[in-house]
Amino acid sequence: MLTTLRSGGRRALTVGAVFAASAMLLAGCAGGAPDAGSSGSAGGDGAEKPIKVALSNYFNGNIWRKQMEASFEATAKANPQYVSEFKTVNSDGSAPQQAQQIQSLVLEGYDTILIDAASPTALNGAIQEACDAGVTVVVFDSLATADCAYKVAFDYEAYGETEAQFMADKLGGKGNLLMVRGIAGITVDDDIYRGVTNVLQKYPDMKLVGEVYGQFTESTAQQEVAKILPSLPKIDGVLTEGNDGGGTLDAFLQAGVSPVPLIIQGNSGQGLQGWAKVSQENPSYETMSISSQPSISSTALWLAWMLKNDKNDAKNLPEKTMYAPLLIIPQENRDAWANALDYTQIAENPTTLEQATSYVESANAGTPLLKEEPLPPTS
Amino acid sequence: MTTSTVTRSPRPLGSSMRDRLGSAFGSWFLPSVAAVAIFAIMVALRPLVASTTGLNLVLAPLIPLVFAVLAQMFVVAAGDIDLGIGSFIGLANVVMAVVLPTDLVGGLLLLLVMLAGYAGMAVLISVRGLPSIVVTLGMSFVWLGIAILILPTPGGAVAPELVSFVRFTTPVVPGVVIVLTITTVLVALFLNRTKYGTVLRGSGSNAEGVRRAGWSVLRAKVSLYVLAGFFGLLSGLYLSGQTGGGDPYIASSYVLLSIAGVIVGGGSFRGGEVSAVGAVAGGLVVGLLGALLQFIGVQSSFQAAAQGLVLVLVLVLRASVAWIQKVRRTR
Repeated sequence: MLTTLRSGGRRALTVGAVFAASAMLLAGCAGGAPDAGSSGSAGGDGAEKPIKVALSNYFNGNIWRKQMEASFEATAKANPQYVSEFKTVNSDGSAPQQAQQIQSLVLEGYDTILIDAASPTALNGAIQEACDAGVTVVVFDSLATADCAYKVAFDYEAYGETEAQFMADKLGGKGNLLMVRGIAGITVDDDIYRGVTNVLQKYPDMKLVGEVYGQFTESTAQQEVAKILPSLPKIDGVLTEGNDGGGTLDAFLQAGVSPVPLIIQGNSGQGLQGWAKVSQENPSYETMSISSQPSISSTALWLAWMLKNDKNDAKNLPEKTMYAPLLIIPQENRDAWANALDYTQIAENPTTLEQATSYVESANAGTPLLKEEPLPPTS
Repeated sequence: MTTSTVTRSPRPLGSSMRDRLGSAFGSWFLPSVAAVAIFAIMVALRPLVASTTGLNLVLAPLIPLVFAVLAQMFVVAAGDIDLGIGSFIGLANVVMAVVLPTDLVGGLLLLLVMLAGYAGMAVLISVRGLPSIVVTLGMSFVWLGIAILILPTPGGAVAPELVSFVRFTTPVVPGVVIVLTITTVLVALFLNRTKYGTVLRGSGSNAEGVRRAGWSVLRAKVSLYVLAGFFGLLSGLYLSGQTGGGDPYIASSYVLLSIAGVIVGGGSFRGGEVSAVGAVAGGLVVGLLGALLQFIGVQSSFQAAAQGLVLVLVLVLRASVAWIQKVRRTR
């Protein structure tokens, strides 16, 4: 198929092309003034420097991640005095590609890189090299363990404990539970599950009779719950892991289960609207909704700015870790959020510099804010 | 338009090899130009890329991918496709991050067993006539399963010696360039200038011919698979050193990327038609594309689609070059 470029003329042409390419290369070398790497050192002492920041996301195929990217871009765009330049890159689920992207970002001269990591370990080499080049690295949500990186985390164990404790209180410490888990083998799922089992140990009469994996996706959760329902005894409560309560509720409704069990919601518009509908028909139906906030990307952005400008003692965060609070929607806030959100949207509280500052200060004081119950933003 | 191979039995090996060399020139050329062009654009956009640090930063993450492409190339040379290379590299990474640091002998033994696994696959595919896609896909779950058994969630720590070996560089010439050059030259010399290299390639395109020439087709296939396994291990070695930790899923994207690299690099699924230089260049093209799109500032949502489109474009270009050549010759 691929045979020789035999004709002499063509060979001459190709040789010429090679020469041209090498000439370009050489020209590039000659003009290789290091315009990157030097973090924007303009401005006198004490003046606040804007950051040139990039977000490296390893996956943007679900609604949470899309909102996360959007939150970062909205915050960066709205605050030009804090952010001089910004960019989002996405590695499509591949850890090696994300490592490569991080290294390219360093070459492009970004002085700050925010990372939602594809793997806790696979990026550590690239992150270390970025740190060595003088770049401030903040990992958030899905963390990497590199020592030099600052971390913005959700306390997912607290997530599991909160929902399981709520369940135990409502059910009087007794009943059959179904758990809709996220994705097998990832740390988020492990942590929430650990939190749940920590609490359930104290209530021997509460039994986990079934587990399914809903992939943090309403439609998947609905299918998986519908499949397992016929094999289960009467379910009194369903524990969830976020963006899966609405589909779970639909599965129970379609199976004609009445009364509907107590289903912890996961902050999606679909779930909250479903919950509101069930409550209309059965006023005594009470539950709660909890999930992580996509706006954690903005929290990470603000932390990076504080680190670059040496504000709020952010450099001395214990174990370089701060927390973004989980967002809880109790009964009384339900209708406000249900009205504010689109069907597929996930509740979030857009993080301002003031809020991020308070998160950093609480972490520095040793009492990090792990949960909050805000009303939807008014705009 | 089959390329001439060892299979034209009356002719001695030597003369057919000269033909091979001639046809090899065409297949590696286009991908090499593409790789140089992409790199030149990157340098034009960011001159820093051409510095020693820049080269290390841009090329280092591509080395494991290039090794994976070479591994895939050997399997493609046998006329097969390896869908298990990603999990295999993942397992190698896990072994190097978890087993090797605590139990050197056990770890090395495990790596040898993995190589033996590749030999076993070759025997199975060759003797029983099983389709390679099915066997390698099945084995991919075996590799992944073992890796998850050893390391359920990502973690572990690679020995510091290994890390410094992989990060080796000189002040003048970047270490990555040295590694790429030596590897390419060695593999190209072996495939194109040695007798057994020719036999190996011939076994993929015309097994019957190789058999009649008095060589064992089974042994050739086993050799190709063991070579593939060896380069898979090398890929795992570099990934381990570069990341410093273990992750069973680390190389899952390499399955399709490595196949794309071989094909972009001038290889063909018909077997036998592969080029080491082309494969290395193909791997660089596939790997550099992502970085280039990022440099140009393609929006993150479009990056995957743009990358795919450019790959298809390269293949279309390749097909049209072949077509033009054919038309000219027949005229």
